[in-house]
Amino acid sequence: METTMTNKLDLVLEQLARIEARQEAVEEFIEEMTPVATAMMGAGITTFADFEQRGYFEFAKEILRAVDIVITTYSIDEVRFFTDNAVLILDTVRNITQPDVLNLIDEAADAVHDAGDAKPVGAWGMFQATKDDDVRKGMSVALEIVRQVGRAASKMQSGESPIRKPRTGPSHRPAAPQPAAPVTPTAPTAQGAPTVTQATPAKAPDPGFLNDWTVEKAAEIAASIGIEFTPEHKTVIEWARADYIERKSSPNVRRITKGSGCDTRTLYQLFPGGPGKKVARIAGIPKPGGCI
Amino acid sequence: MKQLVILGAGTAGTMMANKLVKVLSPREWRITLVDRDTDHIYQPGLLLLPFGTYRKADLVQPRKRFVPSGVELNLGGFSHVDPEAQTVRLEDGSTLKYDLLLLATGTRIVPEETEGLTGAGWQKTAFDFYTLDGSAALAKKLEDWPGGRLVLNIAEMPIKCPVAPLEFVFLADAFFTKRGMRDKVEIVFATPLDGAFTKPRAAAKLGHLLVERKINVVAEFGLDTVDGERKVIRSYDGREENYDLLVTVPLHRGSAALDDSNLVDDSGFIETDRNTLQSRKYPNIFALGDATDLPTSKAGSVAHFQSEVLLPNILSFLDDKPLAASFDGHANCFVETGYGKGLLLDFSYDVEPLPGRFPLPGIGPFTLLEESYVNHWGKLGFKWVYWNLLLRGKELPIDHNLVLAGKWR
Repeated sequence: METTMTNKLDLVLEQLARIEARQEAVEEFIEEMTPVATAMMGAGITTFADFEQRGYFEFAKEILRAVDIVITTYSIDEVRFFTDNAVLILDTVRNITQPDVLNLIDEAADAVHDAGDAKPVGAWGMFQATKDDDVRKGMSVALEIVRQVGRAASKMQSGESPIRKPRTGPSHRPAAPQPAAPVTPTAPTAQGAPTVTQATPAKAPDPGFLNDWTVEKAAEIAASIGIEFTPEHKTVIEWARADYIERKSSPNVRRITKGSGCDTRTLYQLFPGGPGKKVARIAGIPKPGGCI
Repeated sequence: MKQLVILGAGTAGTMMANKLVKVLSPREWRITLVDRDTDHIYQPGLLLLPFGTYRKADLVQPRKRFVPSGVELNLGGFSHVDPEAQTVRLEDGSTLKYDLLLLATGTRIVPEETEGLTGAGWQKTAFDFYTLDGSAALAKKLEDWPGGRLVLNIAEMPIKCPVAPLEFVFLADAFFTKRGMRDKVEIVFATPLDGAFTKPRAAAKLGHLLVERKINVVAEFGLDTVDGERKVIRSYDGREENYDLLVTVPLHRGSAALDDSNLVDDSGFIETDRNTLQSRKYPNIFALGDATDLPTSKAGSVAHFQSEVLLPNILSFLDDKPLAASFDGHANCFVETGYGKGLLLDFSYDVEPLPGRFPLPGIGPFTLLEESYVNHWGKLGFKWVYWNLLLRGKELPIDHNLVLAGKWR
């Protein structure tokens, strides 16, 4: 009988020891991980702040928006067509965006811009122009383009698939420019807990705090809101301004009554309709407010 | 043997006890933590109790559970502090002499200081939700309240958790809507401030919520008296608002036991240096949490950030070095907006609540000044963090000073 009890107790003690060990392990884990978590958070904040500054998140939002527009504008069949012909489409874009082609388009655009200055050309002018080597070359290129378009148009009308197989074989175009080496953002170099170096905002001037305030000015402000500035008013106003300068926080009605010696009912008579705000305005201090 | 006395075993006092016991040698220092009752209440939960999210038992733990070994817990309460003699008189008549005194005595509501509030109708048609019992009584009332004019009134600032009144009306709107009786309830928000939102960014982003949820704001309403018979509240300038159900956030004061200590202002809040957290009168007295007169919100997150400044400052003080750590007024508060969503505010003395993402810029996961489900989960999840990490003085990977990264200006 006794031995069974002692056995049972032993088992319980063993179990308790195990639970305690586990508890200690968890405590230790939290202790160890806290500085790591703090460091990770600091690094995270720095990195993501950098991304945000550079516009990555705005950009990502726009990409999502673009994807959304594509999805809602095009039917799934159209999107399928797009993906099936992605290579052709990209090839065409690549063609168009070759530097020499771009240059060509650029020059042509300039010509269009300058067209305003061009004088009208008659038959004689045309004859003159064909003597120019550049014009000759241009006409040749234009004819070639027209020929290609005509060929493609015939194919379309005869029902042949408009999809061309991508061009294989050596191309006479210069090789496509290599993508620039990817730029990796420099990883945070801090050891331990990196502090986020945010310059503490230069203390913004307090909106509502008048630097060049005088008692006379107070009287003016009071008059402008229909209050006659008596010595009783003056006591309250001077107290309120001093209190703000000391605590850097504007006193509310309760604090004004306790500090200036003026009881609440009188305060409401002296500054009818929102004494907190009115006192603040006349004393040249920000209006009292909450956190939100 | 030197004596450190901490008055108040709430959020602030418990955190500091846990932090200090790790850095003060037990051969040099004896640490005593004093409070007046056994229950530690999770105050952020009091807002949700009236709506059935929590029950009383969910929000209460014994104080001693969070007091580390090495700290002596005295739950007899104190009655007086003499900063000249450097003594604290306990309720049982005994005296504690201190070398360093830390005040974390919090703030309490004083509904009895508003004429008529605790008279007819108190706890029958007029309730508070800032005490465990008050909140529970309101929960019972709301269970079968048939509807009518619900007035949420803030008597005067400061109050603890300044967003709680707004949260209450948002949650009330959701509560009655879910019960299919929203059209039978008129919700009025009567505040002494000049609006429900006093900061420009917040007002711009959130003002629409009040309109959408049909919450009427009565501004610049300084509560003068309550007539529990007629069910009317009256302002100092003679305006009246009638109610069927009054939910009031009464006047707040500091601990009564400090009233004659020469350490407090006229409302009983301890005069404290806003950056170093030292008493403005006695260098060997420090204060943090709701008990101070600091011009920042009275909130748990503020106490937590303060504790991270106070610890190095206390150590500097004990080493006769200048107090280098500076508190910037940082507060970080979840705000329930109902329907499973919430906001997050992150602000300080100099920076108003700004929109953005917290804590990781662009990623979050919490959204600042913006409703999201994640914020609501964050608020609920915080209860575990509070009991298991915060109170035990553990560091959280959030900077105690406000960080501008991630905010959109």
